Amino acid sequence: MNERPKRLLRSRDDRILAGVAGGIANYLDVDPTLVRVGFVAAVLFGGLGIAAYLVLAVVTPNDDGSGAPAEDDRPSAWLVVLAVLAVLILLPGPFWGAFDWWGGGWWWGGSLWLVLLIGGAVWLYATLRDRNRRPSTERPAEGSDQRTPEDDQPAPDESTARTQRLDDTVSQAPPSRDGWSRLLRGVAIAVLVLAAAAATLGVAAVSAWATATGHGAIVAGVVIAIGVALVVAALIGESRWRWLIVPALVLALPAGAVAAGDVNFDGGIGERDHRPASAAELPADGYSLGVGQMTVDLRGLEWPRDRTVELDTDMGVGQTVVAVPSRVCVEADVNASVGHVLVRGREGSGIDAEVTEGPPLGEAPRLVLDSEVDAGEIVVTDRPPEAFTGDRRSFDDDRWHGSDDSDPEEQRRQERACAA
Amino acid sequence: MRGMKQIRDRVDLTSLVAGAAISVFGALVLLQEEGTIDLEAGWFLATLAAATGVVLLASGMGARRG
Repeated sequence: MNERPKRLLRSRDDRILAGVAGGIANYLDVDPTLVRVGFVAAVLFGGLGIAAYLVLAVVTPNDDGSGAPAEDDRPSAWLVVLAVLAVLILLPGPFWGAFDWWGGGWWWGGSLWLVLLIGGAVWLYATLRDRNRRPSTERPAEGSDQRTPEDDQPAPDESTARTQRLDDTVSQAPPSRDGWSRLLRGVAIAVLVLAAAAATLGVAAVSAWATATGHGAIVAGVVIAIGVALVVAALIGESRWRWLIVPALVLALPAGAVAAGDVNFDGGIGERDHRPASAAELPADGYSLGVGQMTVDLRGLEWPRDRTVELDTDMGVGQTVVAVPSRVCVEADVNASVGHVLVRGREGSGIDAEVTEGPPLGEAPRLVLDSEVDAGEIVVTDRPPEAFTGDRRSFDDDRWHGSDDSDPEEQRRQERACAA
Repeated sequence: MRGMKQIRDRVDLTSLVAGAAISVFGALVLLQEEGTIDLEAGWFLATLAAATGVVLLASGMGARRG
C-alpha cells in the first residue's frame, strides 16, 4: 500500500548520452532503441527532439542504481546552458524567420543547424574535459551501455579472460568505446570548424556591411587598433597575441574590398515603390536604395511643358525598374558594375554592363536617365514593372543564365518615340 | 649595445611586421573612406599581396632566428 510510485529517472546503466532514453524506456517498459529512434525522429519537427532531450536531461534525476534518485545529483552547468539555448532557439521558431535563408528550403528551418553548431562545440568541450579528468587506465563502468559484440558472447574460460584483461590493460580502453569517442570527437571538430567558418563569414559580412553603409572609418579604426596592439605585443616579446592577426584580416579584407570597389549601401534596405505624379515630385538627387528592389513608375507622370524629365537612381545590391510611357524617348546612361541592364529592349550583362541611349532626333518628350547599380539589375521599360519584379525575377529565371533578353518590339517603340 | 641586442632578441618579428602591415592597411581604408585617397581595386590587391609577402618574410626570418 505504501509502495512509492514509479519515478522517471535517467538510466545509469543504459545510456549513450545522458540516459534519458534509457530512463524513459525503463519507465514505460519498452525497448530503449525505440525511444531513441523517437527522439531522432522528433528532431525533424523543428528540432523538438533536441530540446526535449536536453530539458529532460536537466530536470530528470539520475538513477542511483536501485531505482531511486541519486543524492546530490545536480545537472552540470554546461548541460543547463545547452538546454536553455536550445529552448530559446527552437521554441520561438517564428521569431527566427530572418534566418530562413540559412535553412534555405529545409522544412524544419535553419535554427536546427544553429543548435547543432552549439551542441557540437559543447560536446567537444565536455568530451575533452572528461577525457582529461579520467584516469588513463579507467575501465567502463559495470553495466555500461557501451556494449560490444564480445559482451554478448558466452563467458570465456579463465585463461581467455586473463588474456582479454591483459589486452584491455595494454590498450587502456575497449576498442568499441575508443571508436565511439573518436567518432564523436570527429563530428564535434567538424561542427566546430563549421561554426568557426560561419563566425568568420559573419564578422566579414558585418565589416563589409558597415563599410558599405558609410561606417568604414569605424572598421578601419578597429583594424588600426589591432595592428597597434600587435606591434606593442611584439615589442614586449609577447608572441601569443599573434592570433589577433586573424580577426584583423577578417575585418580588414572585406572593408578594403568594399572601400576600393566604391560599394555603397546607403539608402536602406527593402522594397521601394515610387510613383511620382509630376516632375516636381522627383527628388533633385534622385532615388537611392542600399539593398533590395526599387520601382520608379513614371507612366502616370504628368509630363512637363519643356518635355524633359531628369532622373537619377542609385542602387547598392538589387534591382531597379524604371517604367516610362511608351511615347517617351529615353536618353540613358545605365550601368551595372556587376549584373544585367535592360534599357528599352537593349541589354548588357556581366562586369561593367552598360547601355547608353542618345538624345531624341526631334522634340519628343524625353527622360534623361542616369542609373547605377553596384551588383544587380536595372530595367527600363514601357511595360508594367510587375512584369520584371516579384518571384518571376528569381535566379531560376532564364534571364540570369545569359539568354538573350533583348526585346526588338520595345526597341522599335523607343525608336519611334525618339523620332517623333 | 647589449641592451639593444636583448630588446632585439626579445621582439617577436612576425607580430611586429604583421601589426605594422595591418595598421598601414587600416590607415589606407580610413583614408579611402574619408575621401583623401582614391585607391582602386587593383592597388588594393597589390597592397594586400605585398603585405602578405612581407609578413611571410618576417615569419621566416623569425623562425630562423629563434
